[in-house]
Amino acid sequence: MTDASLLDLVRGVRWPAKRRVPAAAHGVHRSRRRGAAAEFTEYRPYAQGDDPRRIDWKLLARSDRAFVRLSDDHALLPTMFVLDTSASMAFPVDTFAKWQHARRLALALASIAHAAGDPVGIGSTPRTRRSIIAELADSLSDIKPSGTVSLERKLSDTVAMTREARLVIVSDFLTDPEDLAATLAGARAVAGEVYAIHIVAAEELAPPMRDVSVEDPEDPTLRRPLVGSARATYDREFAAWRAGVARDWRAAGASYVMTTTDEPAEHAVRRIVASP
Amino acid sequence: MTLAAPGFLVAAFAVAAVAVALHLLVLRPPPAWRLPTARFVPPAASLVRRRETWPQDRALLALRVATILLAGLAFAGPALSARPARGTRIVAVDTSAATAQDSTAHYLRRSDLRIPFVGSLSAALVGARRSVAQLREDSVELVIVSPFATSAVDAATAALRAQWPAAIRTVRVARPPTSVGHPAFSWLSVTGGDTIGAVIMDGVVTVAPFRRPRNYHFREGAVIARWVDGTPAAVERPVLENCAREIAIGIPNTRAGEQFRAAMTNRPCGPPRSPAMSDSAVRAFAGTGSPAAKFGPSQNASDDRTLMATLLVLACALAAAEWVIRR
Repeated sequence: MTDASLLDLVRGVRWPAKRRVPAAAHGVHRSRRRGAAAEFTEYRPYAQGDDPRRIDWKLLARSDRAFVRLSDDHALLPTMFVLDTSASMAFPVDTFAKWQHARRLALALASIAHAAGDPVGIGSTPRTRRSIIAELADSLSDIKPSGTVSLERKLSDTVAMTREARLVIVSDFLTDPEDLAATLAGARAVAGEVYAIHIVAAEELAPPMRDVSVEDPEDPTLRRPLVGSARATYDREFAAWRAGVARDWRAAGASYVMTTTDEPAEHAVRRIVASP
Repeated sequence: MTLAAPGFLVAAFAVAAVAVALHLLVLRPPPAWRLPTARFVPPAASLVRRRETWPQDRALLALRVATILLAGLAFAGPALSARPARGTRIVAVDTSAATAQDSTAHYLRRSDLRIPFVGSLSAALVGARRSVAQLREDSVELVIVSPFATSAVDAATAALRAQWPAAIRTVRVARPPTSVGHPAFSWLSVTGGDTIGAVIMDGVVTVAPFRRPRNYHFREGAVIARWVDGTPAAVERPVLENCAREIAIGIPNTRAGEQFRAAMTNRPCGPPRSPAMSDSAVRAFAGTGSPAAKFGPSQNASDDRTLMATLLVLACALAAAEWVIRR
């Protein structure tokens, strides 16, 4: 499936904010600010300081009490993406399926946000211009994951760009434990919404049955034989770690979604936008 | 080529098979595979036992197999020259006993080595030892076919028998019948002379108050009985197919005298026949134990030893070559 066909599949998908967004330019997300929009919500007794122009005069005539009309205001929600570009995402080495899956999810989510008028950005200031999705697609296609990356630093750099936003972290979270803990701490401090998209390769869940000596791409000194009974231990340890990661992210207030590389991206996108 | 101990070669083949199996079952690290989640694999020795379908060090394996097989072949005792079939028998046949040849014809095997001898067991034993020296076989069985008369044993028989290091199979055959007919007797009437106590005939001493004539001279003939002092007592001369027997013995009317008379009367013509060996004597001569005689390496075995040494040197050279290759 090409990127264009994926964007076609997710067209029309809505990704509302889970909470009221702070006051901002007019958008699709419910704002914390009550305004004078045409969409009526409720009445509130007039209080000193209210704009007299918002008093409902007909209601005053009928009830002899002053009420002001309230309506929900809608605002934009900047959506920022943090993509893990470490060597562990370049797996399997022949297809880079993890990275491709992460890239396509980010692009599809950015497209959905952009369609709602939200500014989007990946490692840069969020923009709303029409060509921003194509620019993001170009920039992501040039990236080849390699080396080690501090997820916490990427997160802090992104958070520094905007005061309150929707933050989407797309990673396999196979960074070192200290960095992951710092990332979680940083996520707790984020004022807006946080989505943790956990990318897991199908080959990681079910390694080949033949005897192999596995090597960590981010730490070549870590080489261990995946043979015999080690396979069961691996499955057990990996499952426990995934459960721990999910628990930690949810404890940090984030929406955690794990997706595997063999899951259709369109399906994963719908799960992400619907996640609590 | 024949092998003295083929079991060594079989064992060498077994060891070579084990070597091949060990080459197929090697201890080496499995192929590397990049896995981001490698940290969840428990740490263990990086070497694992793998089963290969085709050995990796084929030159080394060929060298090892060749070394093992050469050593096994060397210890198996190869002989390039042809040698008789195992279990060679030497059959010594007393040809003086005409019937023995006929009665043993069906008893002989094609692979037997037949030695003819006449009468003496010593001759049979000497012939057997000479034949052993000609054979390349280290284990030989000796069979003696003979009537086993007491005359076949002489002073050297016991010593020669002691030199044969195993039991001997003995086949007793019937003695040939006498070729001379009935005798005609000429009994001398002895009235005077002296009385002498015993007469010896066919090795048997008969003690009785026999009377001997004085100054009696026999005509020519073979002495068949003598007085105990060695003077002839009876002679015998062939007459056509029969014989004429002249007896100058005064036989007393005693029981012993009558027995001697009967023996003299019933004795057939011809030379005196020695009595047959008793069964116990034949068994003692045959001995007990295995009939397979083991002899030391023969002269011809030196060639085989040279071949064995050559093979061993080759095996050692290949072992040294393996060390060089591995280095």
